[in-house]
Amino acid sequence: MPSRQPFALIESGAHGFAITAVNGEAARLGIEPGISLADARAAHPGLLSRPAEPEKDRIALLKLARWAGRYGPNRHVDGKDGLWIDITGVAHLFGGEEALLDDIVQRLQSFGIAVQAGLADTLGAAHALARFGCPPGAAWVMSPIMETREAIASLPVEALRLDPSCVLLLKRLGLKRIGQLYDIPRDSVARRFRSSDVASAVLVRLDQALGVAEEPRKPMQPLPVLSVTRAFAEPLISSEALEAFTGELAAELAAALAEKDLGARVLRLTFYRADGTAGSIAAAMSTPSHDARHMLALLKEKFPDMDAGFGVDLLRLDAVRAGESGATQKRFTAGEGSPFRHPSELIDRLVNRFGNAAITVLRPNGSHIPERAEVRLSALDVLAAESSSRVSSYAPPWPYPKRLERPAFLLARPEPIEVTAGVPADPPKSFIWRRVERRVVRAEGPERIASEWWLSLDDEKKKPRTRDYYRIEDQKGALYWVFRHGLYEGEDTSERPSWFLHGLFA
Amino acid sequence: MGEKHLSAELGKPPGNVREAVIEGLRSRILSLERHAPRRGAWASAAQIPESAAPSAASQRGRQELGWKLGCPAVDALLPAGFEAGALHEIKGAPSTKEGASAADWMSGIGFAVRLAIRRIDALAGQERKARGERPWLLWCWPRSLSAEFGVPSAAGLLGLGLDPSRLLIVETGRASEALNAIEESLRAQSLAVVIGVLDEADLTPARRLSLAAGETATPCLLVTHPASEPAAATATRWRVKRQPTGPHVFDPRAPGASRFSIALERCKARPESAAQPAVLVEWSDETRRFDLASVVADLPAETRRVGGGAIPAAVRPH
Repeated sequence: MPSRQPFALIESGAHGFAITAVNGEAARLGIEPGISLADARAAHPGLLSRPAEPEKDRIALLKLARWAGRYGPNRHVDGKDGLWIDITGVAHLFGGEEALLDDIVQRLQSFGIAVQAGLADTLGAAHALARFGCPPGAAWVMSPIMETREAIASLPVEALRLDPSCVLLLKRLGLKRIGQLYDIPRDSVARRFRSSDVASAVLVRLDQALGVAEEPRKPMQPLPVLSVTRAFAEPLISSEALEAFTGELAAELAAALAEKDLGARVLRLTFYRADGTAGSIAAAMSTPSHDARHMLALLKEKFPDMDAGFGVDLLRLDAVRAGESGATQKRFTAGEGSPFRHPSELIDRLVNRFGNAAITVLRPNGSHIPERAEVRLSALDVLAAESSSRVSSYAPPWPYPKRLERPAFLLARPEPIEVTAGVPADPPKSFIWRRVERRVVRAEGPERIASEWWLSLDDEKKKPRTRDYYRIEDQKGALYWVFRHGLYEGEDTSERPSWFLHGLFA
Repeated sequence: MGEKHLSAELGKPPGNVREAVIEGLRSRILSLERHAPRRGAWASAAQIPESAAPSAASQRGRQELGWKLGCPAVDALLPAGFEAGALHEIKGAPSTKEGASAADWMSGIGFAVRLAIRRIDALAGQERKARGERPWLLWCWPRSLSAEFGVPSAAGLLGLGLDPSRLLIVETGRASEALNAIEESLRAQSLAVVIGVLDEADLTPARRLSLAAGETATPCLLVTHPASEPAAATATRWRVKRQPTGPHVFDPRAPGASRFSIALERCKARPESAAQPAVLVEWSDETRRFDLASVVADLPAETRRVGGGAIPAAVRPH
């Protein structure tokens, strides 16, 4: 963006192009956002312009907000062109509030961003100071602790984040400064305004700015339970160095977690690059863990995804979620004297590498239809749930009798087969599956499985059909599980029964 | 033979010192070759017969124990049993030269699953069972194979005698990822046995699996494509062909106990075992062991009914 020449961003509106933003030079010439490009060009033919790209601006601002996490985890974008950061309990890490402000402003200016920063006890006051209270030539302004009332008294009422109509109304009433609102009795504010909505909006904003009313804000990311950071004077580029410091952070976080008798469930390593961008890698765990070695092993897997860019000058390791780590899980052993360790660490590593859906366990599902009687669930989620339950090692019972002849492998969906059977109700004599004919030597059955008729009560067209399952053996000794869908009599006979192969015996 | 070792170990006056020393050296070389660094230096625990294992033996020792099929005729091929910290390859017999049907794959898979049951039984002593601690096992294959054969079903595994709640199923996109996952699982020391199902394993991945298995004494049963090249670096390789099932106890028209003809194609520890002809074994769901299929019971159903006396192999006393 040229800084020496007047420059404006434009947007096509109802009356031709309108200016939406200007640079410092253009502002000095008196060009303001809102006037049309034609008018501005008439006065200053040298004005450069470009179409505005609000969507890209928004994304860039979000990226900046992500980067701003280095100053505090609780932060987000503020409007179209602002950021807010909650620095409660953070300033001392940077050597005081002034040093913190200097640091923010310097870094942002080094990225080529014009900055005005405000720091106050409340979000509303900080907003007002940053946008309206910055003295010319200064990049930041700070209100001392507990002096918010005085600090924002002289600011215009626009600084209170009110609708333009509200501001206009206040100005018509002669209330131009925030300080003028302090002395008006609250009841009379409501009386002076036409509607109580407007009055309450003004009062709420004023209370928020002064810290009388709370103003919760949604942070950009869920706030971590615990986090540890490490800043570097020189940006790190080599992955070995990053790994070493990640190891240190992991040890630090593990110790902090252990002290509270907590274990991390989800870890996030955020790396703040020197060029004002940030990236992160995350890892989930099935059992709350405060084992630094395990944490590092999980994070190390993701290091290839990590782009150090021009160098990383701050690393932050968050325990995004944590759970109570019971005494039994401290060392991940299955119990006294067992040679095996609990598989949760293995599951974490596999999930980390292949995704949550790739590692599954079988659990009962409360149905008697074979394909619905059991479900495959993510091993990570199941173990997390089962390890957090009060029963130390909970495994749900299977609703099957002890001796059940069922195939070890169920096809994802039953595959239709062509069958020749002597008598309609008999097991097949031979069948064609996957284009190969197989002669049936022996068969056992049927095992009749009735449909879940209660599921199709509302559906007139879908008649429930009974399945007759047979265990059949072909001439080579291979065992198959086939079924006839539908009966020959006693049921809806509009459709002929058809045969399917549902499973393979191992 | 086992007694001889035991006596040498316990420091009793050995009958033949020279032989014992040679045997000891042999087992030492064996353990060096298998790159099992944490193994006991002299006679490996696997050499102690199952029944003679002292009760004070560490759990680690129990975990390293070789396990047996339960059928003396086959177990004679492997005096030390299936080696725990090693890679065992299992291949079905291809029905045609070019390819293999689902049934050919299932022969190998069926044998592997039953071997895993034997392993878990060997591992889970009575006292462990009482404490309700059941070991985990892991099943790993690429998604392409699970699309072909379906997914492991709890009902079926329960029928075979495996605890489905303790089964981890890993499905990866590519075969190389499956190898990677198997290796990671072997190193975890959390699993009683790892079953991998793959088209094939090249030399380097197979060696890696073998090393990982040796490190933690976790056996790896690798079921590979029946018609593919055999993997290198395996402790044993089995060729398994499913045979018509044995007679059903009550119903002559129903399929009975599963039968496999198994041949040991490669045996690193005892190469002379590999040349033996195939053996027909039968799996019994009751005793959870393999046994030689009874030829008497193989007679046609009519003959048996006339004779009335033939006892099915499954219930024959041992």
